[in-house]
Amino acid sequence: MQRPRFELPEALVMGILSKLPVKSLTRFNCVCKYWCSSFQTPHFISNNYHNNLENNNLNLLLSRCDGNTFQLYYSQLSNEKDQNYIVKQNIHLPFFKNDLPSVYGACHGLLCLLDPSKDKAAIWNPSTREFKILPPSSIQRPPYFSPFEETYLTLDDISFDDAAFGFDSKTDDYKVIRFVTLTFVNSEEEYSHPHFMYQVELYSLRSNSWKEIPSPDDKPTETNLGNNYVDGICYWKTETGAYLDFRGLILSFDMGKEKFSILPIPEFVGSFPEYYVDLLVFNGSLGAIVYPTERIDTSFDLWVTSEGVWTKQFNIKSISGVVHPLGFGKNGDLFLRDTNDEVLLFDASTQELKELEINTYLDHFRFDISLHVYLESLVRINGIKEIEKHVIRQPARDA
Amino acid sequence: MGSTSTKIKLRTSDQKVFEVEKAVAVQSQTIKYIYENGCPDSVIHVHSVSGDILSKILDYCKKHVNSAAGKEDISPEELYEWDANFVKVDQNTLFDLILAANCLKIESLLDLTCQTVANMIKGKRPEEIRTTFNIKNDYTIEAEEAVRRENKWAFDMLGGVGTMVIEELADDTMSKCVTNAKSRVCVIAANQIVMMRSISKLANKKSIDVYKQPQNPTTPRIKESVKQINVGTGFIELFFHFKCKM
Repeated sequence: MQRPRFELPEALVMGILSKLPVKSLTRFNCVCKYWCSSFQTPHFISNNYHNNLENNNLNLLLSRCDGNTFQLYYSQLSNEKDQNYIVKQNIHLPFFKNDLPSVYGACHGLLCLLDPSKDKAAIWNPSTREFKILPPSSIQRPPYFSPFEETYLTLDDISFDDAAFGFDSKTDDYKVIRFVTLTFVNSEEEYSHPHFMYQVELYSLRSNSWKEIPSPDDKPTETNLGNNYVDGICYWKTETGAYLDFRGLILSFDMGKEKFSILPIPEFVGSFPEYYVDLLVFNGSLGAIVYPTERIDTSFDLWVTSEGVWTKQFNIKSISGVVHPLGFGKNGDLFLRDTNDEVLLFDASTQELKELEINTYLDHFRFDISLHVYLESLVRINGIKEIEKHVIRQPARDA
Repeated sequence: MGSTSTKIKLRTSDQKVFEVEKAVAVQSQTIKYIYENGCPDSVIHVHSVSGDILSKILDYCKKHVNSAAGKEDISPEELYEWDANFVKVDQNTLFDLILAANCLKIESLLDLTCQTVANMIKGKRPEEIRTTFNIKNDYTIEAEEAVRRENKWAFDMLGGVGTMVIEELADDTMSKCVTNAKSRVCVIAANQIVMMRSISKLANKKSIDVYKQPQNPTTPRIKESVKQINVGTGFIELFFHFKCKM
């Protein structure tokens, strides 16, 4: 590169810089103080994110379990299509000890990690390597009086099985909503029948605290496929057996209004037990991958919903040996798990099924593999830089 | 078939006059505004653009107008390739195109040229970036060092840096590096994959020699001194002494 004949005006230089990957921008923090401070302005962060959105600069994480050590970790896959999604690096999260947390998001390139069995949570920007540990919730757990046993029961277990992570644009705040299941038992008895109570907690990044909100009648019943937040609203599958026909429903939560609603899933989309309806976010809308529960050759329908109207986007015909979808990568490529628990890729452009060189055959619990996708982003979260105690990154050994 | 398409006259900063079809010229929002709000027959002055640059820009606009109108049989992939070739110019011309696209308000061209520069610079070192944009480094040596340390993960995988194993030196060793020869202290992280292999190979050695591949010769540097260090376990960082020849 040479010295230019003239200097570009600052606004244009910033325009060029906003098109750079986060890693380059991080390096260029030391070019000069003005650049370093400019990269932290909301305007720049937003332009950079917008560019990443337009260019679909997606990163992919595959959750795995090491065949030798039984360690859970994430493999970050290459997002260059011609590299066939090989593993670039492996990411361990010792902050969660030996368990992998549930991953929610991404929202603006941020992921929320929640331990389902303990009050341990973090918000993570994997692009900038910023890690924010959330405070424990100080919400009071209610007492449980069992009229039948005429005694107060003991709180035996707390679990956090469902949640969502999203953004409230009115208050410019990132929020985490978490469903809490409290298990009570009668400690006097040897074989006690458990009783359950439910709470809902909401965390705000701005206030860095949790608060309790009223629990809806219907709770989430299934884990989602990937991201369950889009455009200010979070979604979960739920069921109601109220009319003795188990209807599939969607429970939604508006991050701004902090209100729950119920949406029906029309019959023509698919209903249990003949079909699985896996909710996810596709191209900026709530969608679902619908596929039959019992068949040898599985075909997948992708439906998308907008304002109550469901439209079928496309169909992938009969792929033999494929069991479950894992989620979408770039350009509509669909990751799948087959009957041998291998990870395959359905290439949307060539309509072909491809094996990936991820070598999951040595892993344990391959049925439990999941895919998480996030965009590059500079968004700041008042966290700290990744340290080995929380996050360990290892480049892939075969390079 | 001769069509009576409207033509617009443009005069550049170096007094060259171009007569262009209206559909092509109004790709520029600036020209469009002036044309629609002024006298349609008069010549529009594009003061800040030279004849050479305007000529190139009009090629771009013509290609895109024709492709969109279906006048030219060109697929999106072919247009993408044409664009990629269009920006294969020297740096000064590229900067000229950016300025002109900005002033003429041709959004797609501005995007294309800015993305091209972004792609050119994304793998560069900060020193090279300062040259490209003529930026004065206003950090003190210590402050820059602190910023580099905080963001050291972003410095790996840079081209041209050699095989080396690095270790975190104690603070007093670092200050020795800084005061010794009034030169810059640069923290260089090696290609991480290479580093992993090096550690396993050197596990039994007490100290190592550091070998460095030649760097990009545009900023010639002389290696002043290399500290002999002890190989520990885990990741290691090495501080070099450089005398920069400016």
